[in-house]
Amino acid sequence: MERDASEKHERFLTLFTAHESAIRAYVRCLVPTRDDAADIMQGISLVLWGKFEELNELDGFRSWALAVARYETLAWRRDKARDRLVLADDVLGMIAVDSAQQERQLSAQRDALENCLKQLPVDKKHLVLGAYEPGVCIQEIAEQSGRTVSAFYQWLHRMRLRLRDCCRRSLEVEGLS
Amino acid sequence: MTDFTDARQLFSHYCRGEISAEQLRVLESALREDADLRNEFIEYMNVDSGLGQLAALSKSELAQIEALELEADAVRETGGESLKPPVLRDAFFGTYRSFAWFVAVVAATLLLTLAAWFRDSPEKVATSVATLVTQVDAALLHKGKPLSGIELSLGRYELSRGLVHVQFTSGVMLYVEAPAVFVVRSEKEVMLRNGRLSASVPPEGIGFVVKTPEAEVIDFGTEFSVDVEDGSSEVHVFDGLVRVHSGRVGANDKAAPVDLRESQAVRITDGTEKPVDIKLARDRFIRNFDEPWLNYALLVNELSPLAYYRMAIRDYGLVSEPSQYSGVVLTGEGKRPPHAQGVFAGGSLRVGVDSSGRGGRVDSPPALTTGQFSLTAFVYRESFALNSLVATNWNGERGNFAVSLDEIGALQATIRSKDGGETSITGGSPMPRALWRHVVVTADGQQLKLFEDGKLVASAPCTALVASDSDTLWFGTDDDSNRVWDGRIDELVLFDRALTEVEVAALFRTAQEEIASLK
Repeated sequence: MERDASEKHERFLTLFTAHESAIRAYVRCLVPTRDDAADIMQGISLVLWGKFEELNELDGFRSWALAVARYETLAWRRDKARDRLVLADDVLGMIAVDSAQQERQLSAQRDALENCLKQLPVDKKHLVLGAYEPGVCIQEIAEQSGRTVSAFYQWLHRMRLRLRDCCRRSLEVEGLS
Repeated sequence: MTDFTDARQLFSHYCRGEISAEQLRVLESALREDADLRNEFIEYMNVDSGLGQLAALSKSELAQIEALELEADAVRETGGESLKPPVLRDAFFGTYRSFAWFVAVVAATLLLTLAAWFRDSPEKVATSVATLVTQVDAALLHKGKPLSGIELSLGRYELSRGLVHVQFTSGVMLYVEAPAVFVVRSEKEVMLRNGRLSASVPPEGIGFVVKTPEAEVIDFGTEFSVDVEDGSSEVHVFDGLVRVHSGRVGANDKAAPVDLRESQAVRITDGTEKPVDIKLARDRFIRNFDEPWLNYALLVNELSPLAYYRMAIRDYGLVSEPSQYSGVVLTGEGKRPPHAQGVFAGGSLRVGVDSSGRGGRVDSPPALTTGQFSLTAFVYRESFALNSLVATNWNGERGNFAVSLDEIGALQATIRSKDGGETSITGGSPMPRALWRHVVVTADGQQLKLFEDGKLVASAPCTALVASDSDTLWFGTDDDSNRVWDGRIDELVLFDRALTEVEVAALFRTAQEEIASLK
């Protein structure tokens, strides 16, 4: 019995580990901030684990997990984000459908991201990663970069676009675009 | 009509939770109407999510990944069986935040794997093969972490800022300029993945090898520089002999080697077999941090200067003789260091272009109180920027001199007199690019003169210079930082007397002899 539980654990972890990045990115498209996505992810992982036995085909883990993620994101929006400025339901619905359809390409994009990040000058790379570190104080990072907070956000926006373009080029080279 | 350019700007506002109700309506409407914009939004958020995951990896985890990738590269390059870094990376990625216990298991497994792997690889034991002799404003990472101490063991190094001088146990001296990535493979071999380095190889270091992605350079006792960028490698030989094998590292079908002697240079481009002859780039590489007292410097000293800025490459600022007039090297954003090869054997101050140099500042400059003045310097222009400053102490109503380029790029000297008047003269023709020019400005209370390369090019009547005492002295910039020099400044000297035409000619002649002797 204990062995069965252990094997189940292992199967779940293997699948969750393989698909967590995709689930997180999917949720990220549907909520305003990364902190929101992190909150929702905690709930999703528990729901997935609790309902894992209901999943008949392990091959369908990713679609099933994305469906759970969609449901949990909607629940979060209903319960906690009433007073938040979140995109309208119909727009979120379009985004959810589009992003699920492009999932493979988006996954390849995230894989390419690390290499693209490496191509940035080291000081820029550190600033970008610094801005994403959990619990970071953006004001401090902005000061480090010699910019105001507002100018730093502008810069970060440009860096995201630059990285996105780099990922696109990488995917084109690999014939994945 | 919806402005989609504005809508893209709103991605950033939305993803940090700082969008206004009105902005949200614009974004919603745009996303609803335009499928392409929706896809862009999804990609943008995907990048945001991916960056969040990358940043969540701890620095030590990243260092481990980098080390594994490096070693896997090394194994691949030597034709051995490779580890599979993407698999390792995925193992790290998947464990982000939740399931901390699983993180611990994976991390422990990886550490065990690493430990076993390093234990089974005796050649990877961290023994020092080189020593860091000097670093100038340097950020040197070893396997993703700042180098601790001065000993360099085998492995990958990334120089993201500044300059380093490294001495190998084989006696070989390397001078590396940021940005550069190199791998120390033994006391006699370095792989330069990108960037610039210069090597000085004594007899005991003969056989030292610098590999690049496109070539292998074997030294036979010499001084040479290598520049690797964008799929091509250049080898420049300043002294002695080197042998260059072109061809991708690890490839068996290398082309026949080419021997390069003094003053020769070649470029090897990825995918081509034959190196192409190119012009030797004497001004490009920093080949030494020493600032020898050559004849020019000795002559300057005989002329009793007030302050002499030799623009030596030092990690303690802008050094003056005498030292009480020393200042600071100003830096900002930029790819390359605020120093470059100087007009003679040493360094120079590099300002603007692609460097982090923003000029020099001296807060306690020498007083100019005699009513007379001279400034001598070598300047090297690297862009067509106009109106840029060489040196000045001018600040509003204060200060008494400025040497700059004018609106057509010609050298210009301006002084302020005791009577409050200003006198300005210009050389008349634009200064050429990528050439050192000797500049002298003299003011004897009657005539303001400008000399270029030993020749008088302009003069105008003037009266005695107003005294300056503690007015900040700037090199390559000024108090407003908006007329930044684009190039190099070297051997800058201030006098509180007017040099004679004979002295100016002697300085230029000595400089010419010096340059000729170094070629």
